[in-house]
Amino acid sequence: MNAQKNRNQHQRNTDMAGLAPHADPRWVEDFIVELRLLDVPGDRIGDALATVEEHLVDTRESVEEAFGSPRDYAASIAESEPRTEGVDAATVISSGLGIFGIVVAPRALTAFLDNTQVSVTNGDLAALALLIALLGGVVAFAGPLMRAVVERRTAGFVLWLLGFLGVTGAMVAFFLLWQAVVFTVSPWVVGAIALAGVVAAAWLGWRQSPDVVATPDGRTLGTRSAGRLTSALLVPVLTLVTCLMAFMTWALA
Amino acid sequence: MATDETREVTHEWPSDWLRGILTTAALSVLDRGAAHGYAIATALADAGLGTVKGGTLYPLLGRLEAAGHVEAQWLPGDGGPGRKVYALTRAGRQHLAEQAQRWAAFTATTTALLEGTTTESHTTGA
Repeated sequence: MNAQKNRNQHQRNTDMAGLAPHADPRWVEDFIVELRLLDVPGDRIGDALATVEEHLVDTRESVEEAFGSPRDYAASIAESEPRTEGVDAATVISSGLGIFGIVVAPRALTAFLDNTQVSVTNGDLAALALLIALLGGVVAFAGPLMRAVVERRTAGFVLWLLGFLGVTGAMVAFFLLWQAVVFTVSPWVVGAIALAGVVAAAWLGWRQSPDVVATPDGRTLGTRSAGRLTSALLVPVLTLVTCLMAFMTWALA
Repeated sequence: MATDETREVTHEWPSDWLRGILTTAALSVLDRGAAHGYAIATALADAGLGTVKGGTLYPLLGRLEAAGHVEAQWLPGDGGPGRKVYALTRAGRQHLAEQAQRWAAFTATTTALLEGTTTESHTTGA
């Protein structure tokens, strides 16, 4: 156990092929994707890959010959493995706060520059309701949605594209058709709420330890620190970009 | 069509027969001492059960580990991922004893049936 811990302290980043060098890289990739879809934790995926590698070194068989299709083998491995929560509450809350901050911060900035109040319209409230419904839908159907995208890549891409265009179209329609102002808020208040959302999203992103694939001898697919940094910085950077775009639009108007 | 003799020589037992006994057979191999996956597969083949593929063996060992009948530990190797060594636990040894007893009763029952010497009484071996 101590030997295990010591080895884990010396983690080395590798690519998919480096996790099981004697296996066909495409098989390894499909196997990892399948186990991810089945919510098997990263360290258990790494353990299963190390077992595959050990067996292939011993038998000199091809990975298909020894283990069959990656999908079937992943399913039989996953039967006795612990499962992760999938999309957890922290991820959903973090995404919701992040999107809210990214959208609302430029509104506060423009209103501040114009020295006016932020007008909240019917369309804004409808768009917010749609956003909350979408996040709820993603949480409820995360597994089937991800499987559809992975298994039918072209159809999945078209589905996502249509979904994205549909949602964007609906939001634009809400903003254009429902412009009646429901209430006005000080840009300072809106800015403070947006900032709180962005900070909370960044903090939740930083707090979550990314579930990277890690073999028992310390090889990892990506690094935990890089994963944490990306999830923490994504929302603040996107907020800065939208604010910058809003400022340039305001300056040129 | 393969005769019983050729089946014994090639060790190609029907897969549904193997499915019934493979878990107990793996426990029995581990009862002789801790072993890694390939050594378990080799021991099963040497015992006459035929080739057990990795795709069958490791999920079976995973189920035994989850049930607490075996425990696994990674031992360092030379440059490679090392070796995952499986050992029987106390619960596993007890489970093996029970299963071996029940299997003996089961084979006695089926043999009696096939040889036409079966009696009215049914034994479950439990």
